[in-house]
Amino acid sequence: MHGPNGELIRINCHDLNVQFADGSVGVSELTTEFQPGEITAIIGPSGCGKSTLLRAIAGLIPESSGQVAFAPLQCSSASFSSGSTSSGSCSSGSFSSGPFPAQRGDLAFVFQDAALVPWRTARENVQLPLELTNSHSVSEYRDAVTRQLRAVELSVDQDDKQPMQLSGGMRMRVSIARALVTEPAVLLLDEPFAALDEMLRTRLGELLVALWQQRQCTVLFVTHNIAEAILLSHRLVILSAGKLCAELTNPLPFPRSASLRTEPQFAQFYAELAAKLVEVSA
Amino acid sequence: MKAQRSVHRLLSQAFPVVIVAAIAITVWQVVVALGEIEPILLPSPFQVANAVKQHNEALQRGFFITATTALTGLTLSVIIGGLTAVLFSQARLLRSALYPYAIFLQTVPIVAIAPLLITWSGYQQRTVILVAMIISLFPIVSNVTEGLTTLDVNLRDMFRLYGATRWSLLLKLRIPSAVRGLVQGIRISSGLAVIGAIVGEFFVGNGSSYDGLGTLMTGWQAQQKTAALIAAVLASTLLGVLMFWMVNLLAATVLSKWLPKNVC
Repeated sequence: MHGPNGELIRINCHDLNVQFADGSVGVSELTTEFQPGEITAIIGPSGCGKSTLLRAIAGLIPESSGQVAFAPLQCSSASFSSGSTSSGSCSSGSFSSGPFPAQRGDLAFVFQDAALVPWRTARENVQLPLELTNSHSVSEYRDAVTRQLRAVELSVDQDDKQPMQLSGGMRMRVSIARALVTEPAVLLLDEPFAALDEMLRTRLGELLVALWQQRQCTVLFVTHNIAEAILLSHRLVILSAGKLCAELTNPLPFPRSASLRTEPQFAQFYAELAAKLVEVSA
Repeated sequence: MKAQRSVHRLLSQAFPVVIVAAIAITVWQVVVALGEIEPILLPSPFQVANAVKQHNEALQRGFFITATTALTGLTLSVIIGGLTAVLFSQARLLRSALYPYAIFLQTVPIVAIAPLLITWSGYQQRTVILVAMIISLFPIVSNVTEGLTTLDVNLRDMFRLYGATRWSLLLKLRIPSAVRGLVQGIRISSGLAVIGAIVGEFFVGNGSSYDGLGTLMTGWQAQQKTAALIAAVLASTLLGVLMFWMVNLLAATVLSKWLPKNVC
């Protein structure tokens, strides 16, 4: 799940501004860097520009000024240990503000509502990016799709069901499998578990971290759930009214699981983050 | 199995309709019997049934000809309307320039242009097909255009992210998204195609070798054969209903894959 040449991708936002046609501001003067091979949670109150930032990075919304740039990080084989990134033997390539992904399928997006094609089966939905990018031969589709469906823990009997026949959690699993099937270097998730119940979102959060640990890539994860942001991320970026208000490094070690919630360190960081959010909202 | 369920559902929907028809026929018979109404004004259901028996061959032939005409007109409107909608979805300028004319076509009373069509195309089945096609074209164009251009924003963005070509977007997203609109359009147009065929036949008249239900109606009305006239009206109604059911059957079977509930 690395870049087109096997490298990880660093994302740099420089003085990024996104303004809508009606004059409202989505993102304002935002400068930050999203580290390669890390999961960054973007958190903040509703309407603070989290989704707009994600869509601007994906190129789905044009920036009014400033730029989003992507730089590959060239690494030797064992540079990334499980759960933590080390740039010891990595060298950063130059940033490119040109269209990304350079190769279609390098960047994947998971939408809040799963956004599955309703007339396609689960398997056909996961297969869709491969069809669109023509990155695999038809004979290779089947194996790649099956691998991803099993990776997101969907049973074989769900493969040929249409989205309307699947539960909300299963639909989101299909959506994640679809995003991962092209082995993207950058994965953007826009509140993917917001519509799910607490147990399911915890389970899917764990699944996401497990998948990332198997094949690391640069992940930006929008959420308004503090616990979820802590459990999933290396770093947290707090937005308010389109502006970057704070950047925090998550002190909790990987691998993560829901049991971390009972740890004093979790509670301490949760309180710190909650206080920061209250301060930002005020 | 799915097709069987669909057919079963259609049959169970038809049952109450049949019951209402039976009640209406009974009331009709009672009204005619008690009111001593002249058969030339309103014949009894039995007299109509006798007319059906007497003119069975002509009615069957007329039904077949009108059905063929209406179906051909409808098929042409689906092909021409569908292709027009695809063009509209691909070229916004073309849509802006031509869509008002499509609306204009809908507002022109078909009765007003039928004589003109006969002048151009002659007293033959081709003219009647043309009338049926023109009257049933607009619902297809408008509904399919709507389906092709109104896409789920997230799905459209996902296709963009994967660099989908215009062709891929059309084949894999726009056209499947438009199936619902197509079915809605054909539902409306199926009834209109029958109306267009009958109106066209009124104008083509008895002077030609063409003898659809509309032509038979004109002749029997002139001969004051009211029972036969009602039989022809019922046959044309039956044709309209059959066309509508055929569309529903098509939606429930062949096209059902593209018509799931809006869960995504």
